[in-house]
Amino acid sequence: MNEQQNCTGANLTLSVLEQQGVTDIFGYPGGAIMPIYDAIYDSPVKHYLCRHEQGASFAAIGYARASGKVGVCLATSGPGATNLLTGLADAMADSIPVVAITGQVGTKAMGSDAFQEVDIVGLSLACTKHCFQVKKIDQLEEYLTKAFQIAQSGRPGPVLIDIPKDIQISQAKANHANLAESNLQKRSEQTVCQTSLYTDAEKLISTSQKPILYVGGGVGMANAVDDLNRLISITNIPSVATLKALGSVSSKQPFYLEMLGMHGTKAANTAVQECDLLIVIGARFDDRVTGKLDEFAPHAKVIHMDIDPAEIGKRRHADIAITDNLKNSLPNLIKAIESQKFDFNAWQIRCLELKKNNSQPISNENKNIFAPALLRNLSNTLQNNAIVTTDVGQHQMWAAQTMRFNHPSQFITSGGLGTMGFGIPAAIGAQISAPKTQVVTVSGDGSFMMNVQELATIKRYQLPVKIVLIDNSRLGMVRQWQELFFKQRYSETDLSDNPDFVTLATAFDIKAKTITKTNEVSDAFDEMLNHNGAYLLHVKIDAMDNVWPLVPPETSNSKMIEKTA
Amino acid sequence: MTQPQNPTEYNHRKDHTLEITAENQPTVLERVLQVTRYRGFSVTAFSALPDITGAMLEMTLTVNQESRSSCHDDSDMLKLCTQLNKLFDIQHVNLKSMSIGNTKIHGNGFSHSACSAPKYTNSEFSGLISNLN
Repeated sequence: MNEQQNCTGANLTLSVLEQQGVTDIFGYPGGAIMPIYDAIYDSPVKHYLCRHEQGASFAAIGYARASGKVGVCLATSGPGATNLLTGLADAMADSIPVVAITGQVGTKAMGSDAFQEVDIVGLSLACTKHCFQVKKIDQLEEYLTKAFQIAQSGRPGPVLIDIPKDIQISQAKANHANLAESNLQKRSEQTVCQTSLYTDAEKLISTSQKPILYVGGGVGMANAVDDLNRLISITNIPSVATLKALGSVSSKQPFYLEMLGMHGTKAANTAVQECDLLIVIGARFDDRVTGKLDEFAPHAKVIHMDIDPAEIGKRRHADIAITDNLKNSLPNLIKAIESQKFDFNAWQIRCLELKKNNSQPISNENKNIFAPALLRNLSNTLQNNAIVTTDVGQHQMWAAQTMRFNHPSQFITSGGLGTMGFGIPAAIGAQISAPKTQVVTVSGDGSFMMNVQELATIKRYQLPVKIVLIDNSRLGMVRQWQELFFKQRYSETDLSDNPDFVTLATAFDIKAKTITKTNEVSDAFDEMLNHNGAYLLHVKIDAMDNVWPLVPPETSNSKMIEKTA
Repeated sequence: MTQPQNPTEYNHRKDHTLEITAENQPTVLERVLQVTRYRGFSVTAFSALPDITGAMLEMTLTVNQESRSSCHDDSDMLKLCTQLNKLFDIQHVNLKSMSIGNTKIHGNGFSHSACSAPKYTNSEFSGLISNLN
């Protein structure tokens, strides 16, 4: 932009976005953000209108997770801003770099309970990494630039910046200030770990007999997937992955036991319970991973590698803690151990045995469609670089158990917060970041309805997103828990009065089809994946199908239960 | 405040005082209090004064751990420090006083890792650990 010439706060905002390399933003206009929307009108930054601010926030997350860039969302003051909060909480829980820009009532009206005024800064304190409110035009460029830096630095996260309307129309001087990086250099991630820590880690690994790599979402976020696989190839240490890490460990690694935790494999959970050394890489001992914490990996010493010092010792004591960017610490660890010869032969054989004994065959001889078999089939049919997003519930766990990915950015799912309604808008963001890539949403009939309005966004931008809607006419995961843990008292989980999903999709010009039988699956996938535009495949499944295996809540991972008759 | 189930437990749960240096930003007080509450502590005393330039804020925060996990409260204090330390506006957190009672401090990983709590210098941190022992 040619600055100085009638540069308003709104123009400056767009100019900073450009400077930060932002090309696409997601939002919804309203009174208090109109000057910024006016600046968008002739900005090269492309704005995507979602149909709900929550949709815009998830689209920004999907965009960020697929591209590795910062996702940006915009909303007006009051209800617009509060509607973003669920997305920010989701980004906080999964450490996703997002910048949210909200309009605010004019500074003179602030604090007077003005129309569409809400204290969004106060509301966002608990679900953002940081937030700013611009009080003077001079602060605008600095805060915006800092927002991008904070969102991406160290452990990434969401940052909100609240801009009152009068600031948006004030005259601004863009000074493109060389905003002191030093201000941020003080942050934790810049620390350098002592070499001796790696020597200590090497010793602990050498003296262990049954080590396991517990791989988390941090690996993908640090861009350290190759480093991780090099570490695995050199040492042949067996590995397990969290929900967010699926796709990090190459499926070619022979001692990879897949996902651990509540709906993980029995092999992964058993191996972790038996191990004597847990090498935790970019993970945080989430309760869905550990089951009953006191009984998790009871014989294991712990080497914990994570960028966030606050995760060290938070839920499990670490014998060695390496708090650095994994892009630095993994190569350092490799350097410290690559000359060593390890012999984990007996342990590797044990892990292979577990893998063999516990791998559940996903076959389906029934006429009715069995979702795990369907999703395994889908995974085998998709292109190698396809991106899959999910909603939250049974379909999400089935997707995690059966689908295979080559990189964690190919599986975009709401992990920490477990937010229903995530899948469709996240797919929109992912598709916009990668227009040529196959993008598929696996959704459930409960979740689908939570952001169903975003079908209008798919239509508006002619996005070729494919939606596989697994429909059991129930809130399936809650129903499963009611069956297992609440004496089959099915309180408020029956959705058998769902709308006609095919008619619904058709109303948005989205081609749609229902299938109910296994022998229809193959043709339906062909039709869906060969269709040029968006497509909704509505898959009816049995309401009583459950996700197996399962660690009951507050139970040790060694007490995993498998399918009951 | 939640009453402890076991009276001897209560004796071990004494106040701890933190000294916090932060940038004097409008939201910084709320942030400190929000993190403190969320991580399971209640505030028994609190003061905040800007420095002579007005740019920085010196806070003294006295907290008492709620009953969430009573047997490790001293290491939980360190966890509160690292959580507060993460806040963007906070420059320094110093754990000024810590009651020991009969609580045994287990090594908590910090002693192994000089870089796990970046805004503590080495000596401060080992001092902190040795105070506990």
